[in-house]
Amino acid sequence: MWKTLAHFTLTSLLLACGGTDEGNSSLNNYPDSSSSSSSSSSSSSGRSSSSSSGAMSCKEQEVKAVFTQNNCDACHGEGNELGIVNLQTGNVGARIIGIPTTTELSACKGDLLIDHNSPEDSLILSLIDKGRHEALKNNGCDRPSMPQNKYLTDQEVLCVQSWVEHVAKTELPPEKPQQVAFEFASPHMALSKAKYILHGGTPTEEEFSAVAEGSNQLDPQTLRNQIIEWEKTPQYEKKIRNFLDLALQQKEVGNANYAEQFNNIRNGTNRAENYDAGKFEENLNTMFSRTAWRIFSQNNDFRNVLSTRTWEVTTAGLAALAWLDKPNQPGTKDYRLIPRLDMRISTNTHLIPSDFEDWRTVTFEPSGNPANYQAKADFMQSLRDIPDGGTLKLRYPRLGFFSSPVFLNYWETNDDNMFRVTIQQTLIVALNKRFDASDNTVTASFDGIDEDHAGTKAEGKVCYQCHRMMDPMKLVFENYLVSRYRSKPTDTSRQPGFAFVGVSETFNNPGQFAKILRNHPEFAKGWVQKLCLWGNSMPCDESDPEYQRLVNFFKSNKFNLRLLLRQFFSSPIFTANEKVLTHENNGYLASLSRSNHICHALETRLESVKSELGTSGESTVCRDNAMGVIPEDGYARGAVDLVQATHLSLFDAKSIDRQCSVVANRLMAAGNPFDRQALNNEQIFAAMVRKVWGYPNNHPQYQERLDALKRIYAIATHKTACEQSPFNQGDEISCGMGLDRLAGLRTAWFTTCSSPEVISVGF
Amino acid sequence: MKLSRREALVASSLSFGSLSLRALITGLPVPLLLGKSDKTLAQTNSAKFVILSHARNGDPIGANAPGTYPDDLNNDAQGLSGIEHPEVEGFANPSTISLGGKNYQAAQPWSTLPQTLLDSSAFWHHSTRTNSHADFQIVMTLQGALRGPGGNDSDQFASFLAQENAEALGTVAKELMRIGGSEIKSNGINAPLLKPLALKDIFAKKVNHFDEMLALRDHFLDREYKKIKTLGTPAQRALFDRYAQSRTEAKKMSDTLGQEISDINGNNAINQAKTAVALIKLKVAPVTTLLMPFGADNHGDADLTNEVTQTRQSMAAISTLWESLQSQELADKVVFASFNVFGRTLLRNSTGGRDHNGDHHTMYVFGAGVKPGMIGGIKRRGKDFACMPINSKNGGTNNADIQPNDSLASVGKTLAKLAGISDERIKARIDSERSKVISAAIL
Repeated sequence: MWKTLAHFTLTSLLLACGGTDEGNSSLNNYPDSSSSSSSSSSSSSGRSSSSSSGAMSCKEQEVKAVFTQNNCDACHGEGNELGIVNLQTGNVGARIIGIPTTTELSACKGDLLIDHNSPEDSLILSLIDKGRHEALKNNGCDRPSMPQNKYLTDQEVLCVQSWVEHVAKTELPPEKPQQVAFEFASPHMALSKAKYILHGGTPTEEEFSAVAEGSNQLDPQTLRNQIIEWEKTPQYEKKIRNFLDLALQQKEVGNANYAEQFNNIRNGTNRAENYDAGKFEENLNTMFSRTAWRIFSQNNDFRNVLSTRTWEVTTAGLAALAWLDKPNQPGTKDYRLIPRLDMRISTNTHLIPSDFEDWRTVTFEPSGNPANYQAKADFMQSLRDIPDGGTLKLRYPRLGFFSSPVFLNYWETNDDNMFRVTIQQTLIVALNKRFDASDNTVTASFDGIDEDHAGTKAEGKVCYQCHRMMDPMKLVFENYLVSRYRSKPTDTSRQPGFAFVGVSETFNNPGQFAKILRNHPEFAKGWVQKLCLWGNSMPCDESDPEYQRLVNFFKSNKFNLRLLLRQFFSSPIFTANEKVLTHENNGYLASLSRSNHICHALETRLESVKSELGTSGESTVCRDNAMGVIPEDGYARGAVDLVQATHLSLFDAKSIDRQCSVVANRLMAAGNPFDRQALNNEQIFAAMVRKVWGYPNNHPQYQERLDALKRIYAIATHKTACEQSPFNQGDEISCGMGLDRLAGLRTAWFTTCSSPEVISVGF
Repeated sequence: MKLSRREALVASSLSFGSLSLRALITGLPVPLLLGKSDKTLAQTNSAKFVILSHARNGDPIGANAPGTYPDDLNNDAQGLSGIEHPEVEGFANPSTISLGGKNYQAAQPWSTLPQTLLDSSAFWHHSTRTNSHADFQIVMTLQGALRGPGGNDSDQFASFLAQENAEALGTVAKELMRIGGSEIKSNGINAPLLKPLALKDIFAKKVNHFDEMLALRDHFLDREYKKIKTLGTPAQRALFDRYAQSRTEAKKMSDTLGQEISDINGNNAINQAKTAVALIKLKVAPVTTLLMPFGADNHGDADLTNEVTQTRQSMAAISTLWESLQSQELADKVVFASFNVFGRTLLRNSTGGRDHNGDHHTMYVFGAGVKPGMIGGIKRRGKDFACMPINSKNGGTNNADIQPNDSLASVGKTLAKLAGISDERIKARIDSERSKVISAAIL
């Protein structure tokens, strides 16, 4: 799939043009409950989308004049903000032909600004012409007209239309890179890919027999049956928890010193004897991660990750949350500074070692008062005494992933940003969407909008279009927290409002906010899409009936994520055993795998080797969970899609070579998985092919792979030097490099470890 | 029928037959894959390696640079005396530095740079037109002005430079190399972060018989996966071809890179500088991105301590970079520029730090062809300071022909020109009528 930068940078085409009609001070520029989207004295009767421009023929300069007269240059002029498409200068037609809009609104996604195949369906016409615009909205694409709440006159529309038709005839759309043609994947490929992602291991003989033997057609149910078996394994738990951490953005990367919330949990000054910074950090990092796993593994409604007040915590974790409830320290310019050292958790001499390990389930109840954290023996004992299933009262409502310390620590805010990053990331996690200026959802509340930052509604700046949605919504944080993410007395003076992708309502507290997220139609769609990225390394096409089936399945099965995973990983959208619309439109990618997958897979496979061969020893291949420079799946600020490296570079190749080679000696040593003293070559090679490479012995290529590995060993170790290249030989080897057995075995391992099957997803 | 603009562009770029397979393998769009054409892309002898420092944090590099201190307190129409510098020695009271023989006032750390470097340094004051971190990648597209290789779509600046210069420079990799700095895209794909220590590790001393292992493994792959080319699925073939290409490139890359970066001991700016020079020396990639921080996202930097500390540290890193380039005789083949998402306010906020300022960013530039001095200026406007219009011919602010709104695309065009990209390709790739190359910035 070619993901051009057009998809990322040509955001929000065709925004609020105009809206500054001089003399018309009552013009409502943005949709709110009192505005009518079909007003405008200059609007004309609707125009059929199929009519042509007839005798009208406008050149581009005349069209630009039309745009200028309607004040479109305010947003679409050259040199404007945010990379909105320039409709003012240069060859506008060449610039926008064949370019899709990048709106977040699913119903409009992919609409072409100028459609070279069907000019009358061009998005630009649909937005300036009343009739077309109403048809667009009736199809579910509810975005502002251009100019907002106005339409061009009939004559102006005809002028623009004639130009669009001319552009479609004379300009070429962007050259799409040759998309990889689709071919069905075999059942073995599907089985291997699913197991790689969900478990890390290789298909067993039984699995291969059940799913793939003797047929090119995959029965999804038999694959699901295998998935159900994998669910019982610790490897599956590890993979799913990794996915949940990623998707819920609960992974802390780098040094998590929680400076903003706790003023540096690693601070060594006056540290209490039993304070364990590493464990404390782990407690903070994983409390919601464990909570999410509980929700998943107990087959609960997965939407509970948005709203649950029942978390997995330790006593130290409870102390941390109680501490964060503390009133802000007065009197300091930077309230990050705590006046008294003895008020920091790290100096709490009443912590005991078990406080960092006594995990249990606790429910947080709302309270009008902050939890009374004290570094005293009786307070700490009161926390220890909260049993599994007990409660703790907190002033700041800890509910859902967006209130976890690790989420807030990762998305630091400040007095300038004021929780905008936090609310944006919350929506990305919950709904897989970000704020988009083309979102026409009616404004729910006007409280909290920073007019210094975004301008006023009357000014009609493009910034306002996002801020009218973002600022009232971020009050879900701002009304409860200072910018260091510590609790403050609740501010009830401003009314929070939720306006996002078709849902508009006010709310009064985080609980109501979470409920809106739970009921938002984008939730199910967003989480299927997250699986597409995690499993396929690329997004699915949301118009794909198979994608929609999965979304509906999720909804109709009470949002049970475990069941959704079974469906998704046996679906042709993932297995590619059948062609679906996603494959037609987006292609199918055999991607470079990422460190989180590769490292887990190699470790799992070597554990399997040990189990089969009765050997022992360390099974890690990666160092610090990294395969050289190959990154993990990750996420970035403002990015909806996962950040994934999908294309092999020379440094990836070097990384694989390096890491596979440095562990080779260890793996072959006595007491290790491929113990060469205890095992013969036949056993070692067979284990490599079956347990690392992924070809069970009932696979038709098993023998071929085994023979190939033996051949490499033979060339490596043959004592007779070759007169010419040793690689010119056929299957019979008569000369070689004269290396010893260890070097030969290392080579076999190296070859297996760096094989395309191991280092890729979907090969 | 008259050729459309796009058709003309494509025709000018292609020099030989079907390039689809190479495009597929390399990931580069077809129009960029020329082996022979030297008419439109950079000429071999004019193409330059480029090093870009990227911060989506929005660095206060311009807060204490030339242009932020008044030359004459009695004649300060721009209000520069109101700019709030750190209240420490060397910042509150500036030093005089000479850029190509002309004196400027700047914070003392700038004066610690080698004079040969200062004589090749310039400070360009411009705007980026946004205050949002999330717009970093949009700024990298020059606010949407940067087109893809075919003249359509969109692209990011470092990626554009790499595409245009890779062939002429004859680098092993045709894409940019990111060893630090904020996330960017290369040919539409996230550019992986290759930290110096990680690079050092993968080039560390090889295990015994590594070369034999490699040869045997590669032979194995070529022989046993031959069937993929005929019987494999297209996705398999694409991955395998890409793997083959990356292995070939990896082989081409001299293992002396390991020797060149053997003294790397961390991932900070100095280590990034050393790594960048090694990559250029070995012609690994046409563009390298890294990070030289000058205070980062310092809203809460109450006493501007971070700003002071990082400025000093980055001076050391820049000096290291320059001295390394000089010692390797590469200084005339490289252009460096700091290119961030926005600048920062020159007046401090209520907690003592600096907030975002899309109206003013300072691009620090040095290297081959750079005319030393200052381009544009800063003036008090509203609650803070903003960049002034630029006179492209003399670099001043009078009789300006570049307005602030057009300054981002203008500095982009100017950098491209310094990088050795032809006027024709600049015009094709940077779609902005009102911006122009600042000829005053080029020797």
